Amino acid sequence: MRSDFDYHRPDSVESAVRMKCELGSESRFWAGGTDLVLQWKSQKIKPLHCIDVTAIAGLGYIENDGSLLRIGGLTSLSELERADRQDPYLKTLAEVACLMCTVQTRTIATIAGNLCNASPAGDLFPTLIAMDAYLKVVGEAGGRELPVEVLMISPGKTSLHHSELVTEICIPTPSQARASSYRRIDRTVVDIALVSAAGAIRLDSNNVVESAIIAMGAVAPTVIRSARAEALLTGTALSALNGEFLQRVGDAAATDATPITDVRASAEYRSAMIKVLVRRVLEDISDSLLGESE
Amino acid sequence: MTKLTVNNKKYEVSGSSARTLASVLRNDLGLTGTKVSCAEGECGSCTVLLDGQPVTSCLVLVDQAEGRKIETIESLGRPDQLHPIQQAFIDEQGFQCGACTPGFIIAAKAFLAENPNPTEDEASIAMSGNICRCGAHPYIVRAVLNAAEKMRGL
Amino acid sequence: MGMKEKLSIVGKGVPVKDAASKVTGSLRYAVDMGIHRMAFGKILRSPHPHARVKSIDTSRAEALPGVITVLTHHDTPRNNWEAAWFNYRGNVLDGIARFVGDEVAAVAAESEDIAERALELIDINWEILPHVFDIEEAAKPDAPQIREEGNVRPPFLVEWGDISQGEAESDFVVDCDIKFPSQQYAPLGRNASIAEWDNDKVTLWTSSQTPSEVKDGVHEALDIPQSKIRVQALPCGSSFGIWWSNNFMMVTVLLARKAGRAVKIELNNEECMATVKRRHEERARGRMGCTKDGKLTFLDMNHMIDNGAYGFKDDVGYASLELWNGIGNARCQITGVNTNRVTAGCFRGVGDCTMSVALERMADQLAEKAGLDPIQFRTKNQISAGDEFNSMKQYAEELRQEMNGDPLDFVAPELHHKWPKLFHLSSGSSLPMLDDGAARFRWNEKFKGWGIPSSIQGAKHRAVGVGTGSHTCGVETEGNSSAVVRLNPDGSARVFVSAGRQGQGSETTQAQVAAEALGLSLDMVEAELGDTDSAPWGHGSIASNTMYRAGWATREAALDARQQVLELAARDCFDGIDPESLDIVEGVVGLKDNPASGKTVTISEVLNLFRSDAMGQMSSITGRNKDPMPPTLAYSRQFATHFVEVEVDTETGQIKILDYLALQDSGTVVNPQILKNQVIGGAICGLGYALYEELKLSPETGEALNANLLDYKLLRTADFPAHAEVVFHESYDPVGPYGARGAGESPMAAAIPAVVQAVYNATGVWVDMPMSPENVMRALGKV
Repeated sequence: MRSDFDYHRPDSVESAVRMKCELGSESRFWAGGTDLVLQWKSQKIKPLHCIDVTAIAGLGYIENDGSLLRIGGLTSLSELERADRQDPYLKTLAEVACLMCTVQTRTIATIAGNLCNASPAGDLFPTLIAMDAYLKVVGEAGGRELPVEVLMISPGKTSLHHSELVTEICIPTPSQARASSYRRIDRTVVDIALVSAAGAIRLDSNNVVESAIIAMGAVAPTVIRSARAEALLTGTALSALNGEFLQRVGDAAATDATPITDVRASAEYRSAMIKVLVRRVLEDISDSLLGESE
Repeated sequence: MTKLTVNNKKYEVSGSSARTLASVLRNDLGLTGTKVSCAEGECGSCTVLLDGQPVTSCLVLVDQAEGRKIETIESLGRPDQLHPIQQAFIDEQGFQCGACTPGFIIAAKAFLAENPNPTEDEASIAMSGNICRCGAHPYIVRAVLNAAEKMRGL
Repeated sequence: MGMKEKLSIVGKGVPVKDAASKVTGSLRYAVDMGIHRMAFGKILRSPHPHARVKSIDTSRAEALPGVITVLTHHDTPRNNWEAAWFNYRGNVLDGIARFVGDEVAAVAAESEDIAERALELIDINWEILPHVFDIEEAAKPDAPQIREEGNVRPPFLVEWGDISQGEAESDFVVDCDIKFPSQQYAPLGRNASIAEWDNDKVTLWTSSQTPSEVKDGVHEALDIPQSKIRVQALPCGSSFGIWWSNNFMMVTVLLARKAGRAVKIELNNEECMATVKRRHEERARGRMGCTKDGKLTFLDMNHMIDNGAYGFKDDVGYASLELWNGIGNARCQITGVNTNRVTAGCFRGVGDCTMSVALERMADQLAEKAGLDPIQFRTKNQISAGDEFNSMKQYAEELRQEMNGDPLDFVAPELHHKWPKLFHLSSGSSLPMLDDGAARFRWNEKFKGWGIPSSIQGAKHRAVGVGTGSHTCGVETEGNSSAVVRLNPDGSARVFVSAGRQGQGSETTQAQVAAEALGLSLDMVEAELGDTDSAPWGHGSIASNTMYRAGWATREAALDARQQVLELAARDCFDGIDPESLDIVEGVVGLKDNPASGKTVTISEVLNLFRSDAMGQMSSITGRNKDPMPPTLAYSRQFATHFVEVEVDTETGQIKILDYLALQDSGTVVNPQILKNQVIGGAICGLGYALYEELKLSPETGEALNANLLDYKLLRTADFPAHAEVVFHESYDPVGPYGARGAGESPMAAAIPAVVQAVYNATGVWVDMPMSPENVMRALGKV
């Protein structure tokens, strides 16, 4: 039987955190709630208190000060969808948002809520990890920062303390040439990723890869990076990012993946696809960077 | 006690907070035009507008809707005085069984408010947040384009 | 026969009569209905695939405040009831669970929440029984028996000629072994049933396509006279055959009787998708041959269907055998087998979406060997109007021997002289549609050869495919369809005929047919389809029955009412002239030849002339169909021909539908707007089944693993080309109302082989269903 719960609506981060500590582990921070409602209906969770954080003002924004993108934790996915696409990373994020769930869910789902749901198939995870993003969180012990990469510790579980709220997502946007891309395998036009890959590359002034991050989703218990793929890419000239080389990078990425078989896809299919996706992500990035340098 | 403003009318609803807006609209307020099918935010048949934006009300807690402007299919028109979107759906027969229709029409209303002159592709993608199991897909898209034309002419 | 009359309402794409209700959300389905002071019911379902209730203790549940009563198998009669077309056969509750999710008990309470909580308080001592999930395993004699009649139905056989002779004549032979997954109806809008007893009489409200059969079910399950049962069948959300008569409706009736209160049971989405019904899992093993110039010589088909726990079918639709009538010799055996999984039954296009897909694939493989393209091969081997059905030769011969003469000798001559030639296709064909469709779709430009894409861009291969499908137009077995038409004193009319309202617009098309026959304008005619107190027994909307058989009955009943009016008018308003010289136009009776200048009188005037007649003249006109309809199965079929263009990403297996053309031959089109929707709807449902839709059943428990819309994938608007076209070929049916035939199911049957063939042409491999990205890659050997 589904749990009955009380509803609370704090109007500040401080009061929300305090409330969470008081009400304890049977309480849940609730933003858009699009994942939590389903978990509550299926009795995966049995909260006794719902702490609706969406009344906290000032946590929905997308700001770009030139070297840092700052996105408020309560920014909705539809707001992300409408972000100004001038910045290459924001463009990728906006495109990723369009792929997520349905237009109705995007209206109320928040970035913080989506990240805290910690799904290895979640589209934002690999995208943000590739962008070297980090989170600002506030909890009982005060405020701290952590890379998105360490947020998910296993499917459905984050490394956050139960009192911590994600208030901001930060993405460094250095002025050098950079591009990112995200690709996934899906079936119908609204779907969860069966397997996904994201990449981001920054070039030095000689058009050589200064840093490359390749992140992969739905091929491990968390969203992981491929050290092997990244090692191959770092130090390579932009002009070499094509053809057989990219295929090798894709193959290398697959060796870092440990997919499982579930109701959506088999491990073999996921292994085979991650190669293709990583390669295609890099082709996208190469196209974008070549377009820029012309 | 939760105060809701639905279709410009004020309601006070008592009862547990552990209820969705969809179930309160249907069971407490008798507004059964909003349909509940999948109850998991996939099919869109429970779509309503919250401050003009489309949401699947099966995922919204009733208390979260307090203080917001809620619009359901009942706000749009009556059989003797239909909204242009409703008339467009009839003209193109963008429905068969009708169970998904209120959800599509509300989603279309929000879409057309933002994009009054959509292409066929844009309309088709925009309507993909809703499912029509009967398969009226192309006629739904034509209905949205027809509605856009009607509303531009107003 | 065969002449197309001048029509005023039939053929017009008028908006459906409930259009305004649908777009305002005011149309009421069973889930929207309620009765004052009704109780809420919830069903306790088995967690085991096969188990017996050793003991059941409901005391804790009954003690919960707000619980009114608990129903168990100790309260229910031990009668088997049957759903239409053998889709269900069993007790309502009998203390044995035969699949995970099977109904075991039910609670009625003051609220849904309380009822749900009470379910957890029912204590059951189970005896676990051995279960079986696999069809082949279940067919073995030593398999656990799921039902008293045994797991295996006697095989259904259709054969003609001599297949070994046919094989000897073959230059090419191919074989197939294809497993078809279960498709789930995924009925948007769900369902509910409400039952209320008035002493010993019960009224049942539920969304159903088959009002009469629901009433039959209650009658059989409870063993009470049919006169004590009233079913009000409400409009359905998308159904495709799930909402016929279902066990949860019977549970509701019995629960309400025990509760002494009206009870509503509403099924949630998971219950709808996991515990009611699904398309059979099927396995087609076949061999087929042809000569070097492409003449089909033989078909040997062994087809198994999984009936689940309570299904009782021994056959599935095999109109494909008639479509491919050119097969020289055939032996097709169909066997129904029960398994401990949710009941399986008729889903739109039953059999003609599975076995026929196997047939079309083998035909395509033979066509490739013989060097013919798919259009040529079909044209060479498919049926034309006037051809004798090979599939019925044996049956016809058996009838002749049994009756010691021609079957028609036993039917009154004044009836059968109007009938088409039995055991021959009376009208319709795929051949003109193949030609026409090929031209419109620019087939010759786009088809580059078997297994050869039309174009390649990187990993993306584009190709086209064509598929043909057929199905019955209703069935006369297991019951006929009748209609009653009553005229009101103001000259308006009501049609009473048993049918469903699940999006096919029958409340409109039945009214159109009646209005045309009566000479009334459409807004003066309404159809009541779901109330068994007013609509006579009819087969409801199954097997594409509604337009053809229900519509025929409606037209006959309307003509009967018209005749009664004309006879009265002739005698009392037109000085006793021959009624044949009168006609009715827009509700006005006048001379056929000179309507405007001669005398006219409205229907209302004719009727009201006699209302106060003390001699008891007829003041209410009731028309009914008096004669039986000719036996549909013996001569009538519907045909669909679909063309599709796909793009396959050969690195990922993802498939996109780029273009679609659907051609349909269902005789006269009564309402083109409605029928286009039906054709495209069938195509989309077929594409869904071909590409993504698979109800995954656990190998450990048999339960559905993806009974939700997140992981049971349905096509959305952007998954299907918005510019898809429908073209009608209206080959006049000699019997159907104004030449119309059934149409609901053949579109699905054509869509599936079309896209399967297109994927073959794009990739060079035949992919089994569902053609998910992964399955495509496996078929390509890349995974």
